[in-house]
Amino acid sequence: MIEKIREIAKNWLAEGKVDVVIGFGEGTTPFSAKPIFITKPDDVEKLIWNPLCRLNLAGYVRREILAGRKVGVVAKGCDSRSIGILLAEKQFDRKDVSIIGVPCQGMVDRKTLMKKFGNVDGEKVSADWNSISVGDKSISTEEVLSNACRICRYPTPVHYDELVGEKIEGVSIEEHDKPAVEMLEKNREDRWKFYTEHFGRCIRCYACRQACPTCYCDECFVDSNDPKWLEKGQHPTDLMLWNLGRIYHQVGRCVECGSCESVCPMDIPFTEILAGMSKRVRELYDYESGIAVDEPPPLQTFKTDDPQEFIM
Amino acid sequence: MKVATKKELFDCLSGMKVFAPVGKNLRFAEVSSADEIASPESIPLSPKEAFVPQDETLFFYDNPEDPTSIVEPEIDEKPFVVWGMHPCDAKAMELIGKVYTEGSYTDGYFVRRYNASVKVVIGCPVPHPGCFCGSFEGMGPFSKSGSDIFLIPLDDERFLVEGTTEKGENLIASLPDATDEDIAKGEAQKKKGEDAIDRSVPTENIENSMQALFDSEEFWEDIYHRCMGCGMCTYVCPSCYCFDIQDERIGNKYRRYRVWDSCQFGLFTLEASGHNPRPTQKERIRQRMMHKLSFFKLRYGDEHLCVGCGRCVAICPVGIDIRDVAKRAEALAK
Repeated sequence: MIEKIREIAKNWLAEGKVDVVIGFGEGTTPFSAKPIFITKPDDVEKLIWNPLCRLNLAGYVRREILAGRKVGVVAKGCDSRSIGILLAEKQFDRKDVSIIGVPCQGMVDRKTLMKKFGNVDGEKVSADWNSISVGDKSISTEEVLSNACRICRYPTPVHYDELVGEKIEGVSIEEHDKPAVEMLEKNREDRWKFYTEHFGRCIRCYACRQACPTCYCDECFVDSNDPKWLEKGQHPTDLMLWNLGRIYHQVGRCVECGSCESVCPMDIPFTEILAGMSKRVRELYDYESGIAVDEPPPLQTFKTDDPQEFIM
Repeated sequence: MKVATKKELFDCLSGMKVFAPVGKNLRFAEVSSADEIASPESIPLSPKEAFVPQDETLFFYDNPEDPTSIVEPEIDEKPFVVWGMHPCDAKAMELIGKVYTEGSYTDGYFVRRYNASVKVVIGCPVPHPGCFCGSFEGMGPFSKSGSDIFLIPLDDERFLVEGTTEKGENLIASLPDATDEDIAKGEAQKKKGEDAIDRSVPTENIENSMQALFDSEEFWEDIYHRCMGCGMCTYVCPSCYCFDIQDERIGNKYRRYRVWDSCQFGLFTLEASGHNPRPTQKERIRQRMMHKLSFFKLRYGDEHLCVGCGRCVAICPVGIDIRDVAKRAEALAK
């Protein structure tokens, strides 16, 4: 599969169809893959494709296009949906991006993996779609999948110019909604406890925001000095306001790629919350983010027959 | 040289608050028993929060117009323990100390905490991915610099315990002496760590090599395109000390406080005019690398601000690796 990805990338670069191909290359620490920007056809050999290619690359796509480059990208289902939502929000034109779509078997959560194996310094490690191993120890890839990937509805890219590999079916709506239902079935007190406990750990490094393709505001509400919407310290109220504020801004836009959860150094579990949000949006507006590129997210439009039962 | 279990050592420190890595993310927080403390082999988040808390009140005031309404916060000057720092961390606190004490201004908040602290530092027989403290002159996984009590893990239960300052020696005086066997075992642990630590990162002349590459697009483009601009590297770093100062209103009172800030944030250098001298991630990630491997040594004399703890290397979600930056800089300089 990787040969095919490299071949397409090489051709696109050689033809001048794109100026840069964004994909993943080998990282320098055990079990890491890093985003790379390929501009020379001969460098396509650096591209890799394995279950560590975790991050969503759509944010880079937007940034590079706005910098005036013609962009090619190696996209999983979630990356393609994020590109879809960025198109729906008119951030760039479809013709500005060329997509090598790769159906995804689910990405590994590196933090879970590192905890499972402990210190792996100096040992031989490998990761493929079946198993992850360190020295003689081996576990199945399935076992350490990211929470977001376990409930992925669209592992096969929704938007692409070339599709590499066989299409993969996503999970059913019922399966997707399981963590959301669990979350929503909690009583008010327990849900509050969940929020305070997890958001209370936040150190405000803003990695969640930076990793999120749909967090692209020129000035984030948390950075605004005038007016200052919230304080900058570690008061629980501010931690709550920051996290819930960011999440609210994702209603109908989040594609549940799980990048925020995967980068969070404090292991804040965003998946349950975001899955619940997507469920609500789907049920209220019959809308799934990033699928239709000509339909803006529901909270960015107004229709006279919009459902209103959630308005007190 | 003494020997003790975690519990026995903890008992020696009774009467003092003990901050140690605990919980899901191994953050330094107050503990009430030895059992809560994470394994000595783990790499916790930066212990700097015991010395420079992320959110620290500088003072309160009643009236913004009236300087005499300023009230200093209550200050706890009692000795406290920071348990579970590694040698890199202890060095980092010394470096932060340089910034906060040298020159015309002394930061009383930091100095007070630093002087009141008992630093219990644990040597590292097994380096973690990303660790390279041994690449810096005078440093290594068993460097005692900046410690008051130095521990070498002997097995799952016991440590070799050494008082490295008078303060530390007095505290552990009641512990039993180590046997020759324990001391030999400690030496073996030390050798294990010293042999394993990465010493391959060039640091000797790196400050000049980096200076020469300041304007090199070719050099920086390898990392800045993928840098997302989060502040994780600076927040997990034991020696990153930059802060922001803010005022907040609480009822009829006001609080002036400082919070960790990060050179990776756009707001960090945004000027009131709207001009930003570091407008993109290129200038921002370059600033961090230059500060760690060049500016600090050129400014303060003999040491780099990076201590080789490897936290930023291990945690960066886009694989930006300061070891690699140093190696490439040195290779290009030759």
